[in-house]
Amino acid sequence: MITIENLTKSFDDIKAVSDVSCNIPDGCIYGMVGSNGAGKSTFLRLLTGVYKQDSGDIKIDGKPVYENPETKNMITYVPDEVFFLSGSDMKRMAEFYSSVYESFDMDRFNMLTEAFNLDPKRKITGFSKGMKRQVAVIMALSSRPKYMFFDETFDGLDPVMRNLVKGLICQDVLDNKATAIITSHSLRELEDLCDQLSLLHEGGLILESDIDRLKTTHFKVQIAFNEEYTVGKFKEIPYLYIKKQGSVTNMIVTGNSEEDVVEKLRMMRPVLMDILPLSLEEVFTYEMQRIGYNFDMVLDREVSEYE
Amino acid sequence: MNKKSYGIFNSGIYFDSLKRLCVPGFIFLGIMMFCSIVIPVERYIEIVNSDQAIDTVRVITRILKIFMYTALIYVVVAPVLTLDAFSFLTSRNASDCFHAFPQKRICLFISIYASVISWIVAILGACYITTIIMYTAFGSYISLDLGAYTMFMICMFAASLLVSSACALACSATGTLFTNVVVTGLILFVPRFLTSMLELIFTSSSVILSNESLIFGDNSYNLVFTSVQGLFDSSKYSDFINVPNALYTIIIGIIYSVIAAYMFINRKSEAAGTASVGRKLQAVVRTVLALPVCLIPVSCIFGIAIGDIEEEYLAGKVFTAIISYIIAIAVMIIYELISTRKLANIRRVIPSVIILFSINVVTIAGLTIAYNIELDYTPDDSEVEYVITDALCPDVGGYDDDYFTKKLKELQITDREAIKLITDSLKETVEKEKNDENIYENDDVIDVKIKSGLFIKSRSICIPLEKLRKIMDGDESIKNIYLDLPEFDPSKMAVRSYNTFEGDLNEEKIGEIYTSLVKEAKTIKYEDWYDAMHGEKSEFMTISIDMSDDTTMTLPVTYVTPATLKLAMSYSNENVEKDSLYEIKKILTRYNNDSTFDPEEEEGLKCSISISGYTYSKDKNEYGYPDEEGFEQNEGILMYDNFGEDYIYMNGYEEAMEVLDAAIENYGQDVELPKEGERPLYIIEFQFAYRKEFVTGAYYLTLQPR
Repeated sequence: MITIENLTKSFDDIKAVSDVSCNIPDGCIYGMVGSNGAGKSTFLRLLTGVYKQDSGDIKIDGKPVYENPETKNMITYVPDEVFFLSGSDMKRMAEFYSSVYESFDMDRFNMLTEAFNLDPKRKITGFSKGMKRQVAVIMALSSRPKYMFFDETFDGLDPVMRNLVKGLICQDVLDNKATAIITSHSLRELEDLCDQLSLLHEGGLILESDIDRLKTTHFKVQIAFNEEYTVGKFKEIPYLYIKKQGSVTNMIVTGNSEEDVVEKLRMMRPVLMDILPLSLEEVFTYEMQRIGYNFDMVLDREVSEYE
Repeated sequence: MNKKSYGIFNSGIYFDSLKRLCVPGFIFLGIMMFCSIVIPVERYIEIVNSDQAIDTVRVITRILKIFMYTALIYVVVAPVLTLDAFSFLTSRNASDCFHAFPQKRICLFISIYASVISWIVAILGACYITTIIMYTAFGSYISLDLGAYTMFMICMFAASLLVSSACALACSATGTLFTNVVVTGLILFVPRFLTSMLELIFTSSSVILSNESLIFGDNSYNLVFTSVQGLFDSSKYSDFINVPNALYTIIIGIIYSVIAAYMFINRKSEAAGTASVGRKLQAVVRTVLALPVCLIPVSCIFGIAIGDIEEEYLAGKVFTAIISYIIAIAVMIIYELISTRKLANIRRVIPSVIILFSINVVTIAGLTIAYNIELDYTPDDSEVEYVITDALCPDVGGYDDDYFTKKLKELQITDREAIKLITDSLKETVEKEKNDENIYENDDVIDVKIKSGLFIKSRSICIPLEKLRKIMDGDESIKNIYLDLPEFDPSKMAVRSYNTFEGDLNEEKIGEIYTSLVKEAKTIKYEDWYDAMHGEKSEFMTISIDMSDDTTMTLPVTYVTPATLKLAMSYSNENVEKDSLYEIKKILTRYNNDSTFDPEEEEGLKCSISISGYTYSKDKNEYGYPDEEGFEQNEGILMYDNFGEDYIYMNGYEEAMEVLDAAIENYGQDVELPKEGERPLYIIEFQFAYRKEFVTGAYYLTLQPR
């Protein structure tokens, strides 16, 4: 289990991770999304022991990570920009990894290399970006880790490879009770794969929940009334976002009980009321808008300038 | 838990790092081994193709020859391998990857650093073995002093360790290749440069404080720094066969390695790609860059503090100091702007300026205090253990590669009268200095080293030199330098004779002549031997001994050592073929009968023939004697030379023929040295050059009375 308490890390005057606390249980596939520069990569590097936190605590299986070889031996990390030894091929990299990681499985390496249809004797510099990603994933999975951290790994992989990688991750999670943390900008990817999802913004954790709960606690309401009304009518409704256009109001509602909210709205006797589920992308967008991460005014200005 | 991974060394990372350094490692190995083979081969070819008979010349390998290519190990190999091994610290991705590994940082550092050292040891080891094999193969012509060479290679390793550790420290402290290289240079040279400059400022403040006052230790202890000085002074290469220098350099290397490990452990991975790992280090670099500029104001203010600056120059010095400090601050600001590219960071320079000024104040105060302490150093003669001075060398400032000069310069004088003269002279000199008197007014000024207590202090003192020389005249320790010569050891010495006409004596024979000289020198009068050594006696042969410590001994064979002289003459005679004597007689006879005769025209033969006689003078106790002009007088009987400008002197033709006939008739007989009143000792010297063949010789004989 990964336990994080009040984790903070700054670079000069910039707080990259700010007072983050969360728990990631074993056997979980944990997704992390966030705006650009939110601190996702920094977070993973802290978990991997690459960076040392300024304050706070990171424990994996009850033990600290930084400068702890025993703990780090359970971790592999695939960064957003992968590193390979200069002039090396896959075989050379496998030798390098096997000298570093005790649990490196050469048989698994050979099997995965074949499965991904890569030439182990070809220089890695000659590979495409996607192929390099594949090599990095193969190295990571061949190390038989208990904890796998993938930083925007799916970017650059074609859809078939993505499915393969997802399947391999799930296999390890199921068979070996491994834990994976995956960061991505693509919520659609994470939606299919992850058990839990968190939202990071400007170093802080905005939202953390399991996927199903996210979908059920966020929904869209479209409601209309015959008489004139203002948005003040809905002051008792826990909405994230509300927009009134004429007699129709669209709102994004968050709450533990959908039935309670619906009942309250029904009591208002609307002429029209539709309850629609939200995609994770919409949840992400509206949650970010709630904290002011919104650029709609730029588009509005562009449109008015055009007109 | 597998202890292998969690200790301070990981064999997997070590071997992998060895592999990563394969390409540069093998390239350098190839280059160095190539040089190890080519240098002795080149020397061998040089000897073989020389005009002299090849089996008579053996040379001792000079350390300088080996140094020139072996120095690559610490000038190029060590820094390149270290920078390559730690190159992951200059790239964010690589740095993150390595720091993600399940090893402690100390384990990472030691394993990688060990691989660099292993390559250095392997390359040095390969060179060592190859060199020994090559010089053993050419042993008949070239000699290698194994002991000196082994010490030399240890020193090379020490220098490599120092450079490598400085590089590792720079890599741990900074995050770009450029700053790695710059900071390596700062670490290697700035400390010694600053101490050398401070020493210069200090010793320049008073004539009494000589250039070797050695406040901070001799620069030769630091082999890397001293090799830079060696670019301008070839005697510095002997620093590379010195145990204390090797030890000191290794210790500094170990200290730097420990600091590098500490910096590596505490380094942030995110520092990769940035100029330095943190603000504190940035401040250190900034301050260090400004320190050399501060030497100028330090010198000015120190001079003012000790009253060394005359009033009319005071204002100028103050102005210079102020301007220099402004420049120093500007250097710090400019560095900050270039490295961080932020104008706002200039305020960070302020604390560094305060530190810089603090360092200056401490330095100036320290120099002033040291000056007063040093100037008051006037030990009593009873406190002095020994003194060393080069003032007793026959030519003060004699060549450092002369064996005797070197020995004299290193001689520890324990004569109490001499020590008293020196200590009294020191007191008087200090008094003159304090009273601002001119110490050069009377007497000579010499450099001395005085050992009292734990320290050896160097001073320039005003002393009646002739008085000192008179005291030391006859000192046993000086006599022993000349009389107690080292025994012949072919592994440490190469002997050869100087005289053109003795030319082809082989090393074995010259070695025996030298051994005879060593034996006889122990039995003869010192004054005779000293006179012979300094050209006051007729020399019949000169032998030169090249020592493996890069010094040379030149010894004359004279009548002062009669047994050796007889041996030398008999060996010289053995080298002369009877046919050569016939040939000489034929040439001279033909020329005498026909002055148009030219052997070069007729047979392509160039020749130089000289027949002379040395008369024994009982009064002078020698053969031939210097006249008032100091030239040796001998009876030049005949000279025939058609090598270049023809020189022919045939006035003594009749006597020459008599000598030649006697030589031919009594060929091979022992030579007895003639006495007072007897006929001279005759020498027939010749050189024939027929096409590329050379034949030289000198034949000695005496004749029965007429």
